[in-house]
Amino acid sequence: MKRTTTRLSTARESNSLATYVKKSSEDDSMGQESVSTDFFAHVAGEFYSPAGRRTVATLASRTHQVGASPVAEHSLLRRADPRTKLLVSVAASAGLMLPLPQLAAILAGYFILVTAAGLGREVVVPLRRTAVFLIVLCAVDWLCVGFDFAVLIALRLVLLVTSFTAFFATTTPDELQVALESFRVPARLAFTFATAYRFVTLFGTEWRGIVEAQRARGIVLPALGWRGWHEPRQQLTKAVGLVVPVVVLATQRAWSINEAAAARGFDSPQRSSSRRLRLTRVDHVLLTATVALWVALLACR
Amino acid sequence: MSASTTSSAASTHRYFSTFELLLLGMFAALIVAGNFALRFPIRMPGHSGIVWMALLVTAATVVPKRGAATTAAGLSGILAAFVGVGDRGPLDTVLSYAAAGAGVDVVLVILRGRGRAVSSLIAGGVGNLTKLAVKMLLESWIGIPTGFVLLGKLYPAATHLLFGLAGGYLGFLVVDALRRAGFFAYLAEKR
Repeated sequence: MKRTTTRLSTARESNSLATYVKKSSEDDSMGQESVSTDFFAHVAGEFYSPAGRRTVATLASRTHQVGASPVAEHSLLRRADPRTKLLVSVAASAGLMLPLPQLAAILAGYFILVTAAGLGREVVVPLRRTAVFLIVLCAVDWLCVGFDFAVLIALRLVLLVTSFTAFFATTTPDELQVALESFRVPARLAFTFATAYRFVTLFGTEWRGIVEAQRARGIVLPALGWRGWHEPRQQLTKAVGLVVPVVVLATQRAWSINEAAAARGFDSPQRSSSRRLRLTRVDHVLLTATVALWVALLACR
Repeated sequence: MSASTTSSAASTHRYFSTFELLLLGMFAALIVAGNFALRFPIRMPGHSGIVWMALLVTAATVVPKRGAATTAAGLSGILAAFVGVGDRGPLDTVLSYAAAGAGVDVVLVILRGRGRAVSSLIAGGVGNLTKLAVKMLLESWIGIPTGFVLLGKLYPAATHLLFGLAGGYLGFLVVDALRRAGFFAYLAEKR
């Protein structure tokens, strides 16, 4: 009886997942938000988040909201091909190795692009997090070595922190999945990534639920804080109760998705993707500008 | 023919089966979710390594193949970059997350000790330290004076090691609890 119930619930989950996969792929093609009535819908809508756009705490507090669209939709780069954005980001981060004048030119070019694309806020947030470190570092370098060196290190750090922000702020995991597939990354790996992304919110919610449930049973982790940590082994043993349930749940979900995917011929050699990437005028402009800037910098060297 | 049979038949020649990859993806999601769902009010660097290393050690034991922890950690790094976790930008996040997994993998391969207390403990410690080491390497690569970095990182290194060891041991306890609950027998059926 118990076994039948388990099978039924697995089947329901698979069906629900299938509905979700179908609906979300339709939504992707139509450019709409995910369907909120589905089993996994609360996972799908929330986490299209740009890097550094908001703090983790804010993300955690918004986990129950459905249909939010945190990708910088207003940005010009949103229309660009993810492969182009990845290439531009890699080209920008490669500037880390250049001397000060060329580095400044790369950074200036990147910031002009980011500002023109309306991503100023997205870039400022991670910079603000590093601000204290940056100021201290600058001061120490200036005092110990010299002004030029301080500026060089500061610019390198700024580039390191911001170089991929534009990419992550304007690309959804589904787009990255397609881009990865076009780069000959195994489709299974790209699919795994996109699937995992959808589960981050769900696992966060479940984890908080498990903490509450354990507290209700009296298996209390002392406010997840210092109290009681003078007995580390005992505290770690209590923490097992937090991790084991989510591992089991994660395994069940992985199996359900595996079954649903296999039933749809995911492992078939004839498998093809319904989504194709195409370079537009924006991509051509971005690629040309990036190549031109790098050629000019190398020529000046 | 059932879906699982088709799946396993198709994936026999692959290093990770689709199920194993999905499982590692779920662990990656758990690592990122743990970052904001379980917030320890301990103001010490590297404290998130407790849950993180526990999950990586568990992942490497549940999928007992070389590179399992690295795959899970690498995926979690890209996920974290999308979510906006990390204080030094996406590049630093992806590299340091992946390095933590590589550290765990290397130790478990060298010690051949998946599911053993001592090797799990060391794997956790090394994994969490590797994460810090990659951050330091990146900093020294961009030219931040190494001496300055080292002086500032002695305390974080000690706490990273401490919390990593605790995480590794927690991973062992989790694996042990799963084994006693018959989880691995359940998993063997699925494979």
